[in-house]
Amino acid sequence: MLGWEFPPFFAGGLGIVCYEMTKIFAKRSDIDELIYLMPYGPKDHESHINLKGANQLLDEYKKKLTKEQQKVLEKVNIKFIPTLISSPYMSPSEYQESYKETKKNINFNKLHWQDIDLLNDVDDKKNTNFHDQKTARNILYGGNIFEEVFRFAKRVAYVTRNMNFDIIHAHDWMTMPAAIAAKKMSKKPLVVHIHNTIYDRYLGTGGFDEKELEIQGMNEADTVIAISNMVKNTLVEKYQIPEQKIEVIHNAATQLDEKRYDHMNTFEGKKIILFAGRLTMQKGGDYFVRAAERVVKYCPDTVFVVAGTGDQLGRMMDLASELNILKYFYFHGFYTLQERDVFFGMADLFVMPSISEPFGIVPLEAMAKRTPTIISFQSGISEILQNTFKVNFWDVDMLAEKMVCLLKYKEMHSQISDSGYHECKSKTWDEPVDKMINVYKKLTGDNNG
Amino acid sequence: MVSICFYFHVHQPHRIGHYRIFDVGENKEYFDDKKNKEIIEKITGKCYLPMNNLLLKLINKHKGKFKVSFSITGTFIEQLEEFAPEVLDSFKKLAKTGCVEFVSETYYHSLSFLYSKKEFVKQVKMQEKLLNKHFKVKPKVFRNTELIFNNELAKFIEEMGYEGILCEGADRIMKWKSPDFVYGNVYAKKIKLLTKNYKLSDDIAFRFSNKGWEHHPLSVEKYVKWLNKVNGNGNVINLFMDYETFGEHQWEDTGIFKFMEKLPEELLKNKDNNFVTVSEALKYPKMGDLDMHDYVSWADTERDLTAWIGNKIQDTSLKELYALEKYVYATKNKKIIDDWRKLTTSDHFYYMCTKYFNDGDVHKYFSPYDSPYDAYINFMNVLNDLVLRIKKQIDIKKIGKNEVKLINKESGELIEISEKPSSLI
Repeated sequence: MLGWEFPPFFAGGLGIVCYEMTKIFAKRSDIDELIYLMPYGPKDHESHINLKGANQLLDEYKKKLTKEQQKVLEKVNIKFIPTLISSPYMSPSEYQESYKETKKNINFNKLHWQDIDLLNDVDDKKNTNFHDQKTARNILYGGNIFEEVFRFAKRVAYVTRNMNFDIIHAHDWMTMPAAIAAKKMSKKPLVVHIHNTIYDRYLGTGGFDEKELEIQGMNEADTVIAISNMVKNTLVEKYQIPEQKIEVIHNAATQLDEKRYDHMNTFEGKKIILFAGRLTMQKGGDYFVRAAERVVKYCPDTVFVVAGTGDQLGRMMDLASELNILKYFYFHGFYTLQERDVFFGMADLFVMPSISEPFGIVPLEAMAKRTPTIISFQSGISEILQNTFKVNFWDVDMLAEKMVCLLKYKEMHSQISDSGYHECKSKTWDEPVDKMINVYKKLTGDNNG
Repeated sequence: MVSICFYFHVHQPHRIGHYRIFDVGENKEYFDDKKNKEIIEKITGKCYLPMNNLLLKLINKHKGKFKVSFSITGTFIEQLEEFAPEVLDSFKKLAKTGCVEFVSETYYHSLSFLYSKKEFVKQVKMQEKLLNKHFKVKPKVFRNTELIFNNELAKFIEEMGYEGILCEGADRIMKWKSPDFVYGNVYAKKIKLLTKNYKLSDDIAFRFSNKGWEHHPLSVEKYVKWLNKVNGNGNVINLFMDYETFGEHQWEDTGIFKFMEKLPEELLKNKDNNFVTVSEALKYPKMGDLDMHDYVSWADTERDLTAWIGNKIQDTSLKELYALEKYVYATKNKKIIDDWRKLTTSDHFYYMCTKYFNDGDVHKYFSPYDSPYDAYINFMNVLNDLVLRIKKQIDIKKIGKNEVKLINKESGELIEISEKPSSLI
């Protein structure tokens, strides 16, 4: 399996998804071993590909894990692929230069993987604290990520030459060059797992280099897994991937905290409607504020909590002020995991009016805490959730209507809390992993288990 | 000798239109006539007209030997009068053949027996009047909404003068007994029960088009063989089903009409067989008494009340609806009373069912809503609007802690003193 993140080194949801997935894979008797290749900053200068170095990292890594996590790893063999650490340790111009250099040398379709020098581009002088999330994020995604993506590919090519495996399973655009490389080296079937596309990340306004990689990866893939029908439709319409090549396998719930914080009197007994996450354009913050304007007329004892930060924070504040409802809002800004836990546990209602959300696991976090949810039809998760309200993100009236009714009709609030909780509990990773293993079996011609 | 007793249930609710909380107090109509009309027209073409024509043809062909029974709800007949009078005429034609019997029920297909006996009696009387008006009949046999039944109902209906009741032949009630006999009830000594043979009924109503079923496609010969097998072990096979089975649940291309067309002929080849209407079936002697303390129905796999009652939103909406009864009648306003009664139709609560994982598919198929919660919101918004309308018509004066006086504003008349005030008012 090729990934870009894995807990505790993750920058977003992909790491968690991969971790939860591997946990179930590790339990399955029809899987002998799962090798997880991911990039990691160099600690061992002498040999980047010296597996001894990588194993040292692995040992170090294992020490950090809980017993349960260690057990998972018995069958999961994580191999760290040393990569060049980018920003904040390199100036943009330095990076640009090396990037240009690499691009000149690599013609993606005619790459001679064996010829690539793997040793000359790493700087180990910088000590980094990889266990801090924020740092990890910068390490994995900083600077010019294309550089890292290609470098990762080169090394994966090198490593997989002598590796014994039956199938390649790669996640998202960053691993596409690596996946193609691994396939070329091993001639093994390739499964490409698409968690989001540039149309989700940039709402179609950018990321065209990334799209190029996505297309190449999917063209090389034997099967493409899309995490929702929404993603599948994008792949068919915008990427011209043949429909029959795509399998939709929805994500499942991770282990979620169930604790409630109703006793906290932070907002003086007012009803709390929560909006949480990165405040980017695609989260639909505008619609949340506009719906709030309607809600306060019916339920003036309501506070709208906006947790998170991003480029839309100022925009949401301005809009609330313009509509003269700023006093009903509490903008929390950046939050810690613990604060997040409290917000979800004290909310009366969680709202996710996303404009585009390939999956959107967050409502499950709310449901685990018995917080009712309203989500947009434009989220992949709306395809599998029953005990929630679904609205079109632009339908501010309808969104307001559902908010008011959830606050007003207590019995319904209570019913949807209970049913939502049980539904959330039933969404385990077993089912998606079963489906993935079926995909593997089809590709390897192994139908006997 | 084995008799076949076909009984078809015909019903459509007045579906509520999208009613937002922002519409409360805005004088918006509750029921979506446009949608209701569309549905009636669609099913008229697929089921009601072709099936009525087929039945008429079969009755004529077999010269009185082919018989069926119907229950047709008041809410359905109201819609026929408005949207499809030709269907009502064809039912009248069937009534005139003398081979069709009509079964009584609540006019509104409601759960009123569970919530208000007073309202229940009113709705049954309305239905009797309606059947008499259109079909010139006085029904002798009763069926409660969705075959909801227990000992108490048997007694109550017996006292209302009925001779028989239809009920579900659920395993947990029948135990080792066959549904193919006529039974009595332990508490109501005079009334007789006809128990549905759910296996043979569901072969037609549910499994007929199921390609995964081992007997698919079901031939008339095979089915009649099954019916013949009962000969000697039973007197009457009660085949009870929704009328929409023919052409709507089982589409024409499944061969359902052809199957029904051939069935009487094939069955009557055996001279020991015949067709009976429900009251003719009652002529068989009782084979013991059934004791049904708990409610039984013909819905879902549980065959109990959980399709309409049991989760918080269903229970609350039903409780609030019936709590308004006294206020509604105190207004003496025809439109308010009519609207409220239309809201008693059980379908509105069926849509609120959250039993997704087993029977959910069936509920979803019949529901005009995206989710049970949407059904609840719509219903409660309407109910809140109704409360505003009621308040315009009557003065509600609190006396004591748990009592209110209801005074009609127009006439100044004290209508009644109510002990259970509605929490909505």
